[in-house]
Amino acid sequence: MTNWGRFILRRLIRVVVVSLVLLTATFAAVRLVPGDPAQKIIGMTTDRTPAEQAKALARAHRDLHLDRPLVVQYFENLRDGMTFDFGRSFQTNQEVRSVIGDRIGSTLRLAAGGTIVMLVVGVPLGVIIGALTNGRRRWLETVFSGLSGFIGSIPPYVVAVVGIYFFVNMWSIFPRIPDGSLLDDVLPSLVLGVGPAFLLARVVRIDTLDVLNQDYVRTARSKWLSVRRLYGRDVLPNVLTPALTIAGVLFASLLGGAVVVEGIFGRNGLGSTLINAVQIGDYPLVSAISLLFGFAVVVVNTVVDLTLAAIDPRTMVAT
Amino acid sequence: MTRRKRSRIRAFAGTPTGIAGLVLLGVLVVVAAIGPSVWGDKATATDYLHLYSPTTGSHFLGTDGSGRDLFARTLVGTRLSLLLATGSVAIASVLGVLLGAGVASVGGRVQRIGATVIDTWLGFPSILLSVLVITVLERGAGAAMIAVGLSFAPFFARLTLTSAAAVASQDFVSAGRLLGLSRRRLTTRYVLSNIIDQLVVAIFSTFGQCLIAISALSFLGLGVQPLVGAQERFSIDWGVLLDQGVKNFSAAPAGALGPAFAIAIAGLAFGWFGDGLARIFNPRLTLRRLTPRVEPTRQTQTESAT
Amino acid sequence: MPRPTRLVALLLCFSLLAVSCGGDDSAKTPSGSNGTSGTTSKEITGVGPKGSGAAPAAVTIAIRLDIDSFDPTTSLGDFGSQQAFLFLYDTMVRRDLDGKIVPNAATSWEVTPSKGVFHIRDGLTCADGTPLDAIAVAKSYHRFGTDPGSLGRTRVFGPEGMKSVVGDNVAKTVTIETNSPNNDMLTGLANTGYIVCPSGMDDTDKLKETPAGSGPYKLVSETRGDEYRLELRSDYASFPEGTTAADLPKKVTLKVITNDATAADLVSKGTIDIAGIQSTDARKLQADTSLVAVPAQGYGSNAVLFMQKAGAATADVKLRQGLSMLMDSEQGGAAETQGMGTSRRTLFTPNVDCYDPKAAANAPKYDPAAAATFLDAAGYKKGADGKRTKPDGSKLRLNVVGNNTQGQIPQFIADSLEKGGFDVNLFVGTYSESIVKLLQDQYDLGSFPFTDSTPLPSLWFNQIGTGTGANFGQISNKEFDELSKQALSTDPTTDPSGRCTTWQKAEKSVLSNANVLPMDQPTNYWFGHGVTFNSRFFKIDPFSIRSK
Repeated sequence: MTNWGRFILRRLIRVVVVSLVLLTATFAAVRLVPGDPAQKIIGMTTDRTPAEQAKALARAHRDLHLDRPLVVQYFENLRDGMTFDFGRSFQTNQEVRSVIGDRIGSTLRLAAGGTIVMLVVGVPLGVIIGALTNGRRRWLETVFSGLSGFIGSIPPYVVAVVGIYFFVNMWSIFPRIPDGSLLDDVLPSLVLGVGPAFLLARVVRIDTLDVLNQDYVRTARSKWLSVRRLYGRDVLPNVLTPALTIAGVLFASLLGGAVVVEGIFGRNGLGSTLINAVQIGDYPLVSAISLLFGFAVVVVNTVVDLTLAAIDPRTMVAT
Repeated sequence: MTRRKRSRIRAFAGTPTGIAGLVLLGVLVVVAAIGPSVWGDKATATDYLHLYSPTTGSHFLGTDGSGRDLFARTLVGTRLSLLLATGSVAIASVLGVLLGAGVASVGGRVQRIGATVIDTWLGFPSILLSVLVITVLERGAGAAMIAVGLSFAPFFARLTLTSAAAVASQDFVSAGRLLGLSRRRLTTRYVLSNIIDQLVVAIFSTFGQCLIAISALSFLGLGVQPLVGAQERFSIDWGVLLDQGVKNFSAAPAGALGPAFAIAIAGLAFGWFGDGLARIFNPRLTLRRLTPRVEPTRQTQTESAT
Repeated sequence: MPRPTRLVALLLCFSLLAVSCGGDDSAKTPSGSNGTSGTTSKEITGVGPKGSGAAPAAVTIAIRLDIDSFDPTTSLGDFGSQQAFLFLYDTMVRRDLDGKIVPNAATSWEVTPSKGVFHIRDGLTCADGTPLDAIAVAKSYHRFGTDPGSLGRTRVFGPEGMKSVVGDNVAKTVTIETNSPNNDMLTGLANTGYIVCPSGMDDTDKLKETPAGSGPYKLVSETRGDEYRLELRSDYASFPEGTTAADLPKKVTLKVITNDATAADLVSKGTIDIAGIQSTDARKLQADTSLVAVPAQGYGSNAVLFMQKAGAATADVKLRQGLSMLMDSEQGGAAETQGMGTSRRTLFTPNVDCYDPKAAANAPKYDPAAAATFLDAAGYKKGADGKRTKPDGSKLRLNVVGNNTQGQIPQFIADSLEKGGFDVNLFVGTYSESIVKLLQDQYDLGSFPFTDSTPLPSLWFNQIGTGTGANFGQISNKEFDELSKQALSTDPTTDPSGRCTTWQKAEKSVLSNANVLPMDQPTNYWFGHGVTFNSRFFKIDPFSIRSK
């Protein structure tokens, strides 16, 4: 088998193993609920007569496989996870799959917007500050490290509140709730992306410094290579590798941030659906959405690893 | 030892952010201690005929939907926010260290599986993990504390595991093993005593993040639930205040800014303080503090463990 | 009841005859009051200004709560569901703004207090194209009368329920018979008697997710929890007199916006066309003269609900009375409506038949000091921990449930009781959550929106009559049941004062027994961006939407 084949196989095995851990965790979570989790369904739907409630309860038992022995339950649950069939929502009786289909769009938009801001702001910022602080301007280094640490540590929901105060209430630049204009996604994307962007920029800056101090770059510089060629051909590709690594990891926190700020920006995405489902105990939705988020993180990290390997095959050796 | 201590204090004093963090922390602790008794009455006095008042002389941040003073409520909320963060850090660190040490001491295949579980756990967005835990427990302040504790535990487990691996490769441990000391004994004796420094730094770095996570849960309605009457003043935390503030943002915007700044400042204070500590223990840890959940080296650590 | 009291009540009613004992509710709704400016009484009728006459091509309407189910018979939903049903389902008859009953699925009818014969319109069709004949209509009403989950069944069939519903395809009639007289049958049919088409009757589980509509609009697509897109049916014919398909918007979108501030923001920008605001956010919009304001008051008061389920501490009338004395409707009303409604301590509001302002005296008076004495005497003395105990000395904890769509009223209730010396546990959740808690768990009291969109006192029977569809607190007051039955069998045209006297006695019984404690009458401040329309408190009339 080629190096690539082996590498991809190992990555896929890891995706499978991690997915199994996730499935097991969500399975355990619902079974750890004291009492009969399906009991929650009573009163949640409009079924109010004893006969109707019994029917709904039986349906919930069937959907969650609670009527089977625990081991069977577990495997049925695994099968459900693989086919992504989680039965129906306790509350609306809608298929969980179709709820997710309805809601995933706005969550993806937020996450994509945030990721774009993170990359588009973070990488150039890091390279520029790196170039500016290469052995010079200690003050800029101090200011940048203080500022980026500060911005990077503020949670997105706080950034959102401050952002809305200024950009919506005070200056009316962006809409808070989507109103169909092109500016709809700007503010939430900035809110989600700005923190990770600065964290990314910190890493990129250090990598930029590393690259700039490599012998071959010094040589290139001494030969008065054009700045564009220097940064385009030498610095950027070398910085991109670690940048992608950390961006993949930052994606997880970005996704978590999206869950929290969805409500603030009036989005009806998976995050607000999940929160509502947790509040009322709509377990089919809770398991499906948490699983989906977990899976998204794993997939993104795997894609990042594969991309890294394509850019720089040396990373394959490490694994 | 005293010389080491003195030099550490000097190192700490050399970090302006560390000093600033310490001062801010001091202020926060004082406010937390005296908050409910000093501003408690003002924070809970309802006046339904004057609700959603904007900023005025007597109400610095305006009033909420029950006519209660929001500035007083933000101050009073300091105590619960800090207490819950403390609780979750305690849970996270104790559980994490025990788990990490446990996994480290078994070795072999089990250790690898344990490491995989810890890394999966670590990679999962913490807010989602907390939400999943709250699904199991009855909603409330305690549940939120446990949930955040559980979602930050793998950070400490990973730290312990990594340190254990580093220590295990050192000569004196090999020597100990040659002398017939058991793996468990070696772990407890050498590893734990060697990670105390890092642990202290990690606890303070995590503190701010736990506070932010707890507030996020309250903000989403999954954390602190309001008590009533005389107990109400002990059920105010910044997350709940922020949630209410955001809901009434157009009526009284200042109400949301108060708790938002409180959360940001507390997060910053703990971060700076942790930064200062990190510098005196190990200058190389500085960068790690700022990206602990997203530590770039983590991926490769995972691989080396598997 | 002792004699003198009854005499007083009678006298009272005579003196108020002209104002509030009138059976014909058309007296309540000022006719021809087109215009938003002017006196307060005009402002709250829910009648919008006259528009240009043409209908906008498409409108987007904000709904405060999501549609819980498309089954109009069993839906527990409030704002969203009720608004959707009005677009999607037809009723037997309609009730116009003046309170007059006008044709819908039935073109004419003969009604006695316990029987109604309805002549069904020719050529009725369902949204899916299937014909809707008399038998299909009868089947729908039969289910409405017999389904144990049917929420509004007493509105149509009265206190004793349905006797029979018979459809005749030859004579094209539907005959409804009730077990006891119900003079409010027509209004009940207009308000809650939605006709579900055969496809929905075959599978009532599916009906929850897919409407089986008979109304002017059909559901084209939806994103649950977010928006519902409706389209005017081309084959619909049961328009109110003087209205044609050209007068209605071709497309209607119902958009779920739970936050009032958000809805206010979007309607002022014109992102949505119509929104009902109940919070202080309405004030900002009121100042905006480019918007059409159509405020509408609710009928009946929102009230604190005392559960009388087995095991609830509030099953004891003394405790209920004592607790009522701890709660101030002035502050409570402001807490619930953010000061945008009107505080009330009567069940019936001035816009409801048989309103009597003096009825407030029947409710326990707000007086914390007297409450303390009263509760002590009733055995709810303070224990060693300073908290009041049950009469047998065991610990008492009052469980309060409320939802976050009703301002701060749950917190207000809890605060008031705490100050009165009780150990209180408070649960505040979303609307659906609080309904779940009400139905599922043991609670003692809570806030509940009792307001309806018809000006008839019988609305209360459906909510607190023993065993009725919407009696979530399992309230039981035999005297109220008896009096309601009597009032419903009294013909408002022949004996208007007798009817009102009986309703007022029924109201008095509920108030003095502290089954519920009225707090406030809410106002829904509707705003249109470039459109005008009429509203009935929490829903707008689909046939009244016109360009400004």
